[in-house]
Amino acid sequence: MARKKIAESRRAASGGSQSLAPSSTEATADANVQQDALPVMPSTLVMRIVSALLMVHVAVIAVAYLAVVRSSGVQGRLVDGFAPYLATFHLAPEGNAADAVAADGVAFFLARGDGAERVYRLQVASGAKPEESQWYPARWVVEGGSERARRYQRFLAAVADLGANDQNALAGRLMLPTLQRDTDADWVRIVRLPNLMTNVVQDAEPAPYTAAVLRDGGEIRLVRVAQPRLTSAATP
Amino acid sequence: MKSSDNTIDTAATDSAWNSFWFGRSIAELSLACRSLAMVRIGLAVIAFWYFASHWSDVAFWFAGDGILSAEALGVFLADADLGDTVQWRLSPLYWIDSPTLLRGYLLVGMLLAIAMPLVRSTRAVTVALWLSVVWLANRSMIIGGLEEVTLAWGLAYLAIAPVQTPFSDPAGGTAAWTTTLARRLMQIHLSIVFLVTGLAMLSSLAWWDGTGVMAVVSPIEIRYFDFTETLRSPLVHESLSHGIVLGAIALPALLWIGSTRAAGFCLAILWCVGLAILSSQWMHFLGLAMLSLSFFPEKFADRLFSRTDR
Repeated sequence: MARKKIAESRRAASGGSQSLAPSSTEATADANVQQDALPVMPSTLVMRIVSALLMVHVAVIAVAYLAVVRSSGVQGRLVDGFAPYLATFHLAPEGNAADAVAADGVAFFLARGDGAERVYRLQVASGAKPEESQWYPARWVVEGGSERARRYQRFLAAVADLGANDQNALAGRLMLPTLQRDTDADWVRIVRLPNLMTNVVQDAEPAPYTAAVLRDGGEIRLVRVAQPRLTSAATP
Repeated sequence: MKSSDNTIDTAATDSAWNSFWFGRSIAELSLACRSLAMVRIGLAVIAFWYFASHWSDVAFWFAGDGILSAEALGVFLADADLGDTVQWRLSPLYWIDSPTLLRGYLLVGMLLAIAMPLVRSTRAVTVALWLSVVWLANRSMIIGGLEEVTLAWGLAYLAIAPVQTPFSDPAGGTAAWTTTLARRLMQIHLSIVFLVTGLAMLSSLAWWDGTGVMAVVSPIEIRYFDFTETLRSPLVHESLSHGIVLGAIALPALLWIGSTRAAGFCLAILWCVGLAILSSQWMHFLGLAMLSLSFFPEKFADRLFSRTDR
């Protein structure tokens, strides 16, 4: 029924108007197509305005995507200049997006696949300085392959990234609200889990963020606990 | 394209440009209507899924006492001196801290996703859904990812075109050229994503030495399926790694050349679904698969819809 209507509309549209130029790659051998006519087009002025906007839009999108892995100065300035457009409408990933850059700055943009991708786990402990066996996973963190679990991973990756770069105050800022919910936690740390692609040195790296939780009535403070780092003397 | 005095024939060039962006024939318009209708249904499902995936945790993240409450996030951004970087991530959700209202927002988003392919009288539903996704994506600072970007640009282009079903007659008037325009924008943007993904993979050694796919499946704690044993053979994972990179780089060309479009379309769907399963980045890659329907080949459409019409 619908096909019949389309055929009728094609006949109606083709009657008395100019025929189609057959230069397109999309043209088929179907005889009906050869009889097609031009659909209603916008006015020349509208086409020119829209064309100008299209050229700018496509160029900006292309540059924004190409700038994600590592941008040049020109790319960076262009993307920054169009930030009101790109960021407001969320049209392209940001250069420092969690899915774009791994914790150590290695890009694996858009399709995962770098040995640097690690799973983060938030662990807490109670009492005096805990032994390794006393750490347990925080109850509120969701794990698994869901989009929901991925959001927790991005959050933990952000804190771990700050911790690894000694931005302790900023890491603490993000962690504080989580510890207000977990009243038993006296210690908190984020560890990176080893996987098939990590090597011995990576597996031996200390937790990127470890802190003691100091509670004073309703107030909570976090004190970063320095972890021994691998040095050249420690590596075989 | 060239006139007799060896100068560019601007009228012909102009015409080719306009034909590409604004439509050339009823047959092409009909194909654009059908493919966009399928994209619309696919993105509606993913948008619904996106809002639903926030349901359990929206208060945990964004409420007044949430981990990323507006106040906590504001202090963090001020301390980190990131205010200028994120100043354009606008969203009214920064002013909402009630868990009930946040869930109400998600509910509205889910209802809009259901309504988008059904309400054909106006584009307003698509625009409203697009803005709802963008605002939630902008609010999801730190915890947002690629799925929001894919959904946001897909819905932005869909909002340009009138709402139709795969069985609708091609729309007339201004609706005709906006349909073609929306489809072209979607196709160009998707081609950029495929191409840049392939090129970006080449920036990582893992995709050169054939271990890229193992790196994808290795963090098994955040994957639905554990393929590490299945792909352990070097022949399997190296072939798959090279195929994924080659596929990403070749897809734009295969999709744009008329004679290879059907093969390119099948490869695009296979590539997206394969990476969705391997990486568990379901929303992002299935979103790309849905957007690949904008390249739905004419011969498939003829076969599918003529059979349905009978």
